[in-house]
This record gives sequence, structure tokens and C-alpha cells, in this order.
Amino acid sequence: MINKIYLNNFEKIKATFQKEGSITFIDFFQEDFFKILQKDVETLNFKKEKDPTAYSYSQANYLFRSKEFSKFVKKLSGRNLRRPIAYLFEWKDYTILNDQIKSKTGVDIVFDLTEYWQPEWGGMIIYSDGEGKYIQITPNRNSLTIIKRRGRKFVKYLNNKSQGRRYILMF
Amino acid sequence: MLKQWINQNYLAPEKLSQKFLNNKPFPYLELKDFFIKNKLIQVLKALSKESFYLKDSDLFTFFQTNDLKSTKNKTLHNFRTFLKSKEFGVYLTSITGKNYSDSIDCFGTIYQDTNYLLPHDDQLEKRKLAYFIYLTNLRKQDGGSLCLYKNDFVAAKITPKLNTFAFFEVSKNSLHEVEEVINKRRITITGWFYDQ
Repeated sequence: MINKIYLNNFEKIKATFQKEGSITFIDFFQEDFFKILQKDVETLNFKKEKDPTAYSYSQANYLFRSKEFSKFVKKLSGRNLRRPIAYLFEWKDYTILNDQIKSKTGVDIVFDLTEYWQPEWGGMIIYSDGEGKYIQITPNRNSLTIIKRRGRKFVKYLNNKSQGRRYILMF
Repeated sequence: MLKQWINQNYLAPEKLSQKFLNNKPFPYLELKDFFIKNKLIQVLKALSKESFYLKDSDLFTFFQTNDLKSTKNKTLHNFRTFLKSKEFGVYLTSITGKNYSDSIDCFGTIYQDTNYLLPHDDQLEKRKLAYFIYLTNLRKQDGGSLCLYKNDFVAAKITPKLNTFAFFEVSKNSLHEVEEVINKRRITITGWFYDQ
């Protein structure tokens, strides 16, 4: 179910991840599998979560088990796969950097299911190392990002130009 | 100097004090037609010639000038000088009951379509009073309103109107936001008065 290109070039990919600390795979799953996954996530029963000074989004639990995927992630990053949480971001949703909570170091695994998106609409996940360096995950369907956390992250406010819904799975 | 800048209906500040202190969710005032209109129009014209810079973070996107103390424009310089004058400070003190230092912050801001400022409390050392001088008219559906929060909910809204002067007391309770602006431009002069 994982795109063969990535399975066939695993050593190169691993070297890149170790050097850069982050990697994004476009068209990560094979198309048929992605379509099923996408339909599954889009029909979840999302619940709105809001604390005005910290976040606004919808959230749902999702059951996703795949030995192939677990193995791929573990071999690449050393991290065990957790049960994912599905997030839905729409117009007026956001999360902000929080001075009180410094996220522990570790590896984030973000799978993106957003079908069509323009960067001007917001919704990017932005990692800030606190020293002016940023890494940005722009919405993109069927893409997987694995990233060593440095500092903290936020999701940029989705403005009135944003059309449709932004879905992600965080493992 | 007050008479040169402020609408004569507002020259007796003591009357406004009760309203300021009793307003909910925290002390604030919205004073419509506050300045002498022609003078404020001159300020708006002068402001439109200043440079605005993009301010962009997790919390906001909008455009802002440098502090107007560095302006070379005489109209803006005079306006800022009035805002930080002892006379105007005393005027505000008689409304709020608090004393202010003679240093202020004073910026021009433009919120264009999609620009916003998410809820936060403004608390920073010695900031006492946040103020907003509105230079454009917006309707409710245009966004750009100043929303004042009580806990997690909006308890009061100030919709931008040309020549409204609004201000609120900065505290740990003064949670507020500027709603996203939709297809309009929201122009203000804004900043803070400080503790002595």
C-alpha cells in the first residue's frame, strides 16, 4: 500500500531524514488505498474543540493499523506508531504557540488528506525553533511528513478564502 | 489643547467615568465622533502616506507602521504629541482613575481582507490602557470588530466607525481579539498608555 518508489529507495530516504531532520513524501500511499483512507477520515464524527487563547479545531479518534506502515516509520525514525488522532480544520480554526507548554523533543508523524489547497488560505503547520528558523508543512493530499521536533509548532489561522476542509492524521 | 482636538461634547470626562468602570466584561469605553472630524480626516490622509509593514505570526496577520514618533509628517507628529500630552493624560485619568506616564506607543495599522488578531490579553509590563482610533467604517458583516471576552465567550463588540475612540484597561482579564476582516480595509491608530 505504500508507494513502491519509497520502499525501493529506503536507504537513501533514511540518510536524507537523518541529515535534514525532516522529510515529506508526496503520494505516499498508493492511490486506491489513499482514496479509501480519505473517505474513512472524512466521514468520521468530528467534535469541535476550542480554547480561544490556544486552539480551535475539530477532532476524532481513528483506528488505523498497518504493519507495513508501522515498520516503515519505525525503521526510518525509530518511533513506534501510536493510534492516530484525526483533525479537521475549517475557516476560523487555528492553534497558537504556547509559552507555557514546551513540547518534548521527539518525532512528529503527520499524514495529510487535504484535497486541494492554496497557501494563502492558511492552514500550514509551522514548526518554530524559537531562534527564527521555521519549517512549514503546506497542505497536500496523500503526503506524509516525518519531522524531529525542534521547539514548538502552530497551525496558521484559516481565513475566509479557504475553501473546503483540511484533514490531517497525527500519529 | 483639548478643545483643538476633541469634540466639545466630550470635554467633561467625569461623566464618562462611571460608564467606563461599569462596562462589562472589563472596563472599556467606545466614544463615537470623538475627535474634531476635519482634523481626523487630515490625520487619515497623512497616515495613508506612511509605510506599512507586514506583521505575521501564529497570533496575527496585519500591516503596521513604525511608531509614529519617527514620522516626518507634521500632522501625524502633532496628533501623536496631543495623545501623549499631559492634558490628554489627565483627561484619561479622570475617566479611568489611573495615572499614566508621558510615554505612549502609537502605530498606524491596516487590516486587509483575511487579516486578523486572535484572542490575547495584551499584558506586558506597565501597559495600562490599550486604545483604538478608528479611521474607517465597517459593517458587522465586514469583520474587523474588536471583541472583548469573558472567559471563552465574546461579551462585547466594537464595530469600527470613523472617528470612534475606544480604549480598555489592560489586565489579566482583558482578553480580546480583532475579527478577521472580509473584503474591506480596517485602518486605525492604536497603541498603549503606560504606568508611571
